[in-house]
Amino acid sequence: MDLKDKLSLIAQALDVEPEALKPETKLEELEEWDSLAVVSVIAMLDKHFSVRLKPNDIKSLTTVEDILAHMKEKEAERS
Amino acid sequence: MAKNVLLLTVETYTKYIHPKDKSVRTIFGDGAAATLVTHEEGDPCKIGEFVFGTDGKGAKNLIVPAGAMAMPKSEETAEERVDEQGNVRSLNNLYMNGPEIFNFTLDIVPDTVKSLLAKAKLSMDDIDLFVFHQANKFMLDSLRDKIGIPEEKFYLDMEDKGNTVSATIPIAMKDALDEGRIRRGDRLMLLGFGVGYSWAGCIVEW
Repeated sequence: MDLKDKLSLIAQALDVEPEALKPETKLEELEEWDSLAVVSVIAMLDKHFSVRLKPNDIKSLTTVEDILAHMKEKEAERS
Repeated sequence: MAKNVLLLTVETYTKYIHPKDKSVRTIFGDGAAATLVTHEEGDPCKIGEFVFGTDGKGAKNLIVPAGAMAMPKSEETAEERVDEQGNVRSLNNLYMNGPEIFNFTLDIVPDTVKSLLAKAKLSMDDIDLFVFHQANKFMLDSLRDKIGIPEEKFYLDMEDKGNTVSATIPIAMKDALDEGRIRRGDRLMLLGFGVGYSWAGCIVEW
């Protein structure tokens, strides 16, 4: 899965346009980054990457890159 | 032991919810149900296999911290705090860690469905309707998707009511019956999960 597809998945979870997201985008600067967005990201990572965010992982999500990092880990494990 | 059991499930969570706490005010609703469970010889209805579980490590994630014996109410417990999302609550109010609860259900519910089917020696196809605890639509959609239950076999009852906690399943069953979603001879899976953590499922032949 390339970067564009991953950003698309994140955009879907956050309910924003994919164009609004870059890896360096700060999550708290997005109006949509609320409690529902957090559980949407949890659901997306679980469904597409079989990754489960732990409480500390959730707290440390500050940028889109942080979410992307979780999407990479599983791929590395799978290959 | 008993031929007739009247099960009363009554919830008034609004008494514990802080009016400025959007994290729970938007989710829960007051509600009640009275369910008669009765035994008659030759009756077609059967309650089948059960699975149960609890895990106390989840207690702090859905709780009214003060008010009972471990932490009686006091001036301190009534002090209001504002959390990172701007929600206001005191220790006398209901607190819920949404993401943690969601994680818990993603872990437990699919496994509970599997183990209940195995215990009852049934497959997913043998179930005509799944009636889960009506926690919130987002969680139910995610669970339905993850477990792979077709939409027409998964009952959703969140249009005009919130999460009425212990009353959600009986209320959902009544609504499903009224809508004709449950017919004589149907096999149901009832599945509850939440505070505690705790969870349980059973098969009902209607």
